[in-house]
Amino acid sequence: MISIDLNKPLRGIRIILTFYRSYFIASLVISLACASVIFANGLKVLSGVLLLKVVSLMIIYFFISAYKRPEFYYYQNLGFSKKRIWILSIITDMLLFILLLIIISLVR
Amino acid sequence: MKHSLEIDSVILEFGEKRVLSDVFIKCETGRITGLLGRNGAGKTCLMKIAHGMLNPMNKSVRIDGKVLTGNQRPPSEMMYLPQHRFIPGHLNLKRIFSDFMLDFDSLALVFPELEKFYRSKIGGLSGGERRIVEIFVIIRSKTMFCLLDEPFTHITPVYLDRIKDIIISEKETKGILVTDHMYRHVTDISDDLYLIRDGATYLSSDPADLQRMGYLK
Repeated sequence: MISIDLNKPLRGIRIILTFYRSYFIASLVISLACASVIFANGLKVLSGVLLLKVVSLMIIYFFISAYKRPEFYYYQNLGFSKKRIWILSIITDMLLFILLLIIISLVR
Repeated sequence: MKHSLEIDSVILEFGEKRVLSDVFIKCETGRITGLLGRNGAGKTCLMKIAHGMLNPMNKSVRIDGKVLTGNQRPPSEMMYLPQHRFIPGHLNLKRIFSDFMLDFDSLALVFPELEKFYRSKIGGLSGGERRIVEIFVIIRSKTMFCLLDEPFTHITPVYLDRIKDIIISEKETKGILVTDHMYRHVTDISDDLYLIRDGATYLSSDPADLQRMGYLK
């Protein structure tokens, strides 16, 4: 019988979500604002909404990189370099953002 | 298995100021390597370079002769204790020990005073207690090398001997590079001692070297 050890990937996801938590609220507020604009105006404003989301993520990136700088050693010691933890958490954030936009488009 | 970490050919400059230029440090499994130097001598920079968090103009960092490139060091090869607090304050001790795949009971065994904090957030602990947890998770993790930047600073004297005992016991399975301004603790536990001065490292074989080299009065 083949046994699959899920502890390692689950631990990795947990570590990424721990970091994502540091800017989740700010990102959620931006995502909800973007979703409300889509809800009111439809997909014709999608490019502007995406631009707003990307710019806000850049601001969050610079703010968190400066404000939470010591904590990157925590993730580095757990095998997640600063670059890697950012990429994985932003992918998580963008997936949630796209999911939110899809739900809003279907509801509208 | 015995491993060796070597750092040399480092050139580090900040603007016009050359901080490190003539460095050689060797750290081996089974040995504690002390690193001393005045403020601004480049001790922390050297550790960050070894750990990949700082990129100088030139460097050679090798484990068992194999050159390490990039800025990612797998935890299985190297762990770094920075001189400032680094664990997110909202994490509780249960979670921290789980992340580092360590048994909390091993901490409670050495520091029974901390047993009650199992479910407490690390941000709620005192500075010294927090530092003990940080040192413990780094030094006890499964890795080839531990780089410890100021592990003795901010620690209550009553805990210092226990911290030193842990470091000494862990050298059986890993190489340890340690620096601290509380130099007596460093010299107490070190098998090899390097002094950094004017950008260069000097292997010290005699405590009197520290005076000769101008580190002590």
